[in-house]
Amino acid sequence: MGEVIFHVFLIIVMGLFFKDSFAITSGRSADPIGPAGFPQTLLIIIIVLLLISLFKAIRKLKSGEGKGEPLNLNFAYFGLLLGIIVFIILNDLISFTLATIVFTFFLFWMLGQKRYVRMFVQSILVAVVFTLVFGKVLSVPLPRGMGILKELTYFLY
Amino acid sequence: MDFQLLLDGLLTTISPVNLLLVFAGMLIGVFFGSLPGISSSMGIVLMLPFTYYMGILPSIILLVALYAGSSYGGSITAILFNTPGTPESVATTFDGYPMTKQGKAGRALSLAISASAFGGVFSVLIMLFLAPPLSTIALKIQSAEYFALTVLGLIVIASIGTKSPLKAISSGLIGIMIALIGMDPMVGVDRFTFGHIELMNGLEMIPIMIGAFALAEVLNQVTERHNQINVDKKVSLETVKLIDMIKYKWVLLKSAVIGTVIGILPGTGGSIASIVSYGEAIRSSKNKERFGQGEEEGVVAPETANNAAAGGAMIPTLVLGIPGSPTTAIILAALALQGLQPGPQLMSDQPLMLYCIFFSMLIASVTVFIGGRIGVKAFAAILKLPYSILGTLIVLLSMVGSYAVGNSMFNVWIMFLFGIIGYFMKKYHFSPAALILGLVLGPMMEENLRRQLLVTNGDYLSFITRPISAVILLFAIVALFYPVIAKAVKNRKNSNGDVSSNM
Repeated sequence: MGEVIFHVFLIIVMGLFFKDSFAITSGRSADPIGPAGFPQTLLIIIIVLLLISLFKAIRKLKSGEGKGEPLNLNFAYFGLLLGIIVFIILNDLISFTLATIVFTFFLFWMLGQKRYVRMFVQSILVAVVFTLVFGKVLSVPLPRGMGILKELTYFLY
Repeated sequence: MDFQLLLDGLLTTISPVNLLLVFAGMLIGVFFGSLPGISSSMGIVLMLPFTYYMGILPSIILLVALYAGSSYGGSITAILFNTPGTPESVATTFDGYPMTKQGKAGRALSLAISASAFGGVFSVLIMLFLAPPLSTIALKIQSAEYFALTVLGLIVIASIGTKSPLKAISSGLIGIMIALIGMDPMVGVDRFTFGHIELMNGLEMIPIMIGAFALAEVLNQVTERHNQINVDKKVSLETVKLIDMIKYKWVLLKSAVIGTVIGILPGTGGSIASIVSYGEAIRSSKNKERFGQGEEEGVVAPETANNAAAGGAMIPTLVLGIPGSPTTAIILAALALQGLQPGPQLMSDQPLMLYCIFFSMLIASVTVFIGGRIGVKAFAAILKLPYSILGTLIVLLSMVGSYAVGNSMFNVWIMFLFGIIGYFMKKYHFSPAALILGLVLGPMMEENLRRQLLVTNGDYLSFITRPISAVILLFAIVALFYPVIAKAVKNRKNSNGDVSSNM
């Protein structure tokens, strides 16, 4: 069933793109296909191919072959996704280094580590190494957070 | 060839300071190349400030060695973590990562090193001897030929998506669609931005690539509870003997030629070269079904080609002043920073430079081969880490790598989104690799199609009336119908066999 839903999702997204393609303003009159021509042709082909593939998936489902292996979207799966969302938000609030410590500790725990002191030390180590390599050596302007934390990051990167 | 200049070039390159720069450049290149999101072009940009005071030859020596090193570096994470460090190493993941899963990480890395070295040495030799004549051929390649090349590349997608060509082609076309988001390259109107200003410049390829490959793989691991997939017992640190490589001589040679030729074409580069040579390796193999399952040729072909493309791309850069790849465009900018005027007169202004570049790339390739072989055990030992650490490091690298591309959290969200999409694509046998290829080929395909039609007043036949374009398109058609023809021939053979056995 998941395969059918994924096909439908892709067809809807491509359909939205196709609808939006009519809003593209036309280019120069000399341009034979214009800025909308190529994507529109492409979208028609994609939708046709996806419909054929959807038809096959439905047929497979009806014949009982389509069940396949279960998705098993477990706690770790949703935990990881949620962790990433929180990490992205934390970066702008408490700086990259602190957000990385929290995120790394969380991931270690979620992926099966149980020794909390070691996890904590490793999290700090990973955060410092990443900060120094990317922030200092490679001069990537890592997020600095807000307020006093922002000022403190200038000592590190 | 001027042998006096060749000797001078050698002596200049092996002077202690320059030799040190070659080694340093190679090591930095391997390091940058292995970090997802830090491409060779970004590595060179980051090194540019250090070259300001170096002088022309030392700075160019450092940068080209870095370029050569990064071509190999990208394959390390591609093989070990299914995370291509550079777009050039996407094709290496197809068979490199399955080899790692089978406990052959050491062998896959060794094959990559040997193939990289061969590709690198081959292309610099071509660069030295054939630079001027090859560049004149490249001048004949115009929009119709570029379009034909992208069509060929797209059809190769069908061979990558082993389980379902239909889904693989759909994935590739979706990739092209994603590449079209942003400003139209010909007339500058915005397309598919849905009113978001962040989408005006289009979507960066690296976050999509990292998401679809690296994050999707971590999600796959956590759902399949393969937390101990890379346990010690499965890691075989077997190295490849030189004699083993002789087995792959034809794959090496073909891929080196493909890589060099595609590298020479301005605007293309290692990513297209590696995909095309991978497709060619499948096409010419007797064991097509083994590709994607950890076939050694599947590592040898793209690694040879992407390193050969690095040397090939230097040819139009130096001889014509037209960069053969995004990275060589930055090298060209570095030359301009040194006060040189890129263009056909560059070779007459700086006659020694070609030879210094030749020797520095040659030494870097040989160093990668020797140093890399020693380092294989160290690289493969990373796999001994428990997945709780490895998975965490991959996710962190993916996030920082995506952020570093444009110093924007928007790219991290994109990586996140494509991580989820990539996971489901993999689950339902769509092809994330084809999606990436579509992203690479998309802009080039559209631009050249429209430019050709513009130049010829909408004459679609012009794609088949130009000989080079016609030949490439013919190859594409043969590649498209090859599976059908092969199946028909096989069925016919089987039915003949049945008939004869019945008799």
